[in-house]
Amino acid sequence: MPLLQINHLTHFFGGLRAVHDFNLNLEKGELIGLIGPNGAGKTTIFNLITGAYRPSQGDVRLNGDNLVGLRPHQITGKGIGRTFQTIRLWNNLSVLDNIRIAQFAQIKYGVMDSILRTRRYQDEEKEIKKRSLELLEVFNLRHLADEIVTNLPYGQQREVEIVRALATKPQLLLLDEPAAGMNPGEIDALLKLIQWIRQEFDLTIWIIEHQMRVIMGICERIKVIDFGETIAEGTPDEIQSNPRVLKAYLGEEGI
Amino acid sequence: MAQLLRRIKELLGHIPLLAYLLGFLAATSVEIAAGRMFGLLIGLGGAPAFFGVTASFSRLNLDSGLVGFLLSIPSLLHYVVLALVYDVVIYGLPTLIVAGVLAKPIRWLVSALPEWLTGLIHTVTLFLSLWIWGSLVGYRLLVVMYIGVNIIMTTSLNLINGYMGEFSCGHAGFMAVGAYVSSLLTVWLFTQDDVFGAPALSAGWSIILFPLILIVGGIAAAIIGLLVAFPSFKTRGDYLAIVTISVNFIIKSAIENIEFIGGPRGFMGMKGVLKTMASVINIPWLLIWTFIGVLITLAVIYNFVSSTKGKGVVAIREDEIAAELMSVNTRHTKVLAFTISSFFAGVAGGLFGHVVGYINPSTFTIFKSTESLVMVYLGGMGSLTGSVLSASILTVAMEALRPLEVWKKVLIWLMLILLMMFRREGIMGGKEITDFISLERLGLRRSAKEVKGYAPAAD
Repeated sequence: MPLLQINHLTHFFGGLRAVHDFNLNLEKGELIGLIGPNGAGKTTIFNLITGAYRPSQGDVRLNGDNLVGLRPHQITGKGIGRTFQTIRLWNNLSVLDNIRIAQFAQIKYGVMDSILRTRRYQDEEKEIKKRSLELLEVFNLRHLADEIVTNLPYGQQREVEIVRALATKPQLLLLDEPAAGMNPGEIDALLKLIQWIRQEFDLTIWIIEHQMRVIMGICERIKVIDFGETIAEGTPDEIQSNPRVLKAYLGEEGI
Repeated sequence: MAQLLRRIKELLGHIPLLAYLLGFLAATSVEIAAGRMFGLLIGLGGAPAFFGVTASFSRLNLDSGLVGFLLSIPSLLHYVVLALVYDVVIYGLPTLIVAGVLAKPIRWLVSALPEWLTGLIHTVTLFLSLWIWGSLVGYRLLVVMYIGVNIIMTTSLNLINGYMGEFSCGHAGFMAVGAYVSSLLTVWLFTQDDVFGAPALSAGWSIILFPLILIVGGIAAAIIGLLVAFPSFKTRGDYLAIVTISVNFIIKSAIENIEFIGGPRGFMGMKGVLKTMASVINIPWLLIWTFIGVLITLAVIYNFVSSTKGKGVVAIREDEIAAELMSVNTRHTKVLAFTISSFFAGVAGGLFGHVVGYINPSTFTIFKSTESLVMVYLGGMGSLTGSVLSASILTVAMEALRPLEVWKKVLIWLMLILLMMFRREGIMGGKEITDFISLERLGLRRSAKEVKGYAPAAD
């Protein structure tokens, strides 16, 4: 069974059709890309999958379970982690707290346990803290654990956001324009990081990007959408030479 | 001169908190023994209630125009000097001398005792000094209990407005529910009352049931708090503020229209409850429960917001959508926050009803809610020690400035305006006092060095 199945996903904002009949089967361990010009509906698809919007039609299945109608935190709890196009960390909290809170779904103690500081609470909190620090360690961010997020440079904030998404224990990681605002050197480092994460955490990764060259290097399969419609699908080479993609990106005349 | 100041600062900074507390305890004993005499001797006419602040302001002549006001200023200054002499001799010197002498032994004691015992000793000493200081003038005790009630109100509101970043303006509504529910219960159970008749239970029960009834009042308020939690799923910010104001008004009007509990005339008889309790064992029950109430509120809210589950509240403040998408169950978290917050407002209400001995619906209007709001913002959003500080300062200020009559309010709100202009983050600015002075330095925790048996070289 595919890890993620999306069938006939369609979404309207009022009268505007943002996504139309989007289909995808994502196998475990794949690394795929979704590209398209600005406003093509890429982020909307992520928002539909993660429950931020409820699809007008169609369904989304993770390991066969239908996700439509679940609240976002439930979907995240089932194993879909994501980052955001513009960084959405909890700015006035420490790096460590950002990572800790992302493990909310794994908390089993009740509110009374936290108020009374029971054994169970202490054990779980210790585990959460240990895991958070280990994650930060892996990304060489451990020395920043107590730093307030706002004080970090942009690149590190991006990294922290990825670590936070990993802290939710995802099977599928959705990266929404991870290279936005990065220079070519940073992009190279990021691509290496993504490939490494995939191996290290045994993840399936889905990247949104509108700069084609970013994902050409690492994705095995790429889907291209424009105005909510899928216009092409295939390997990077096929995509690069596909006339419809060129048209979408470069315009009718092919300047 | 500067060096001298630094030296003094260093000396004072090295005295642990407990030494100061014991010093103050000693000072209150000095006051009991000699305060009245000394006050008469220097011309204060007895021991001043609030370090002489209230009495100083009452020298001002506010009734005969600007000239009369200006002419009364020398009299104020004269009194201030006398009051300062009193404060230094009766409070300052004994506190410092005792604290200085005890500093070393107490440092040693803290390093020898387990931390929970150190904490307990601090708590008991603080309670004793408040009690003894308060007992000398009855009015002081009342103000101490007001401070307690306001601390509970402020810290519980801080959970919503500070930690969660919502804007709740109806906290007094929950306070009203708690006040009415627990007052009705205690009066029904323990006193001879016009409405309820003879006491339903024997006096002995009052000792055991009083704290439980406060909790029942809190639970009643928490249930009403849920009414606000549900709209908060759909709306936030200004709109939720309007919802909370409406809830405040609904509660007030509801109480006004229940004739059998007094309607707009209010409800009384709680003094009788205290008498019943005192007739069984004569100790200051209400002060004890207010004190314990404050401690429990602080402990519960601190423990909650520092747990990962409770930090979900802060994540909602920082970015609610990201919180929900990063696995925080925001609805559940909001319900928890509103329930805990309104529960404690209810407990504060129950205490308030018994402190004042009379409650009426117009006590619990939006003005009362605003008072708590001001204390939250004055202390700093998301800072518990800030809330404690601001609740204490503002409560004392409102009592001490009473002689200024109408001008009192002008002064206090002016202070708030200045605060918002120059230090919008409040006194503590989202930090706790322990971020500035370590627990080790305060002598509340053993320092790492001492634990390892390392003695720092004397210099």
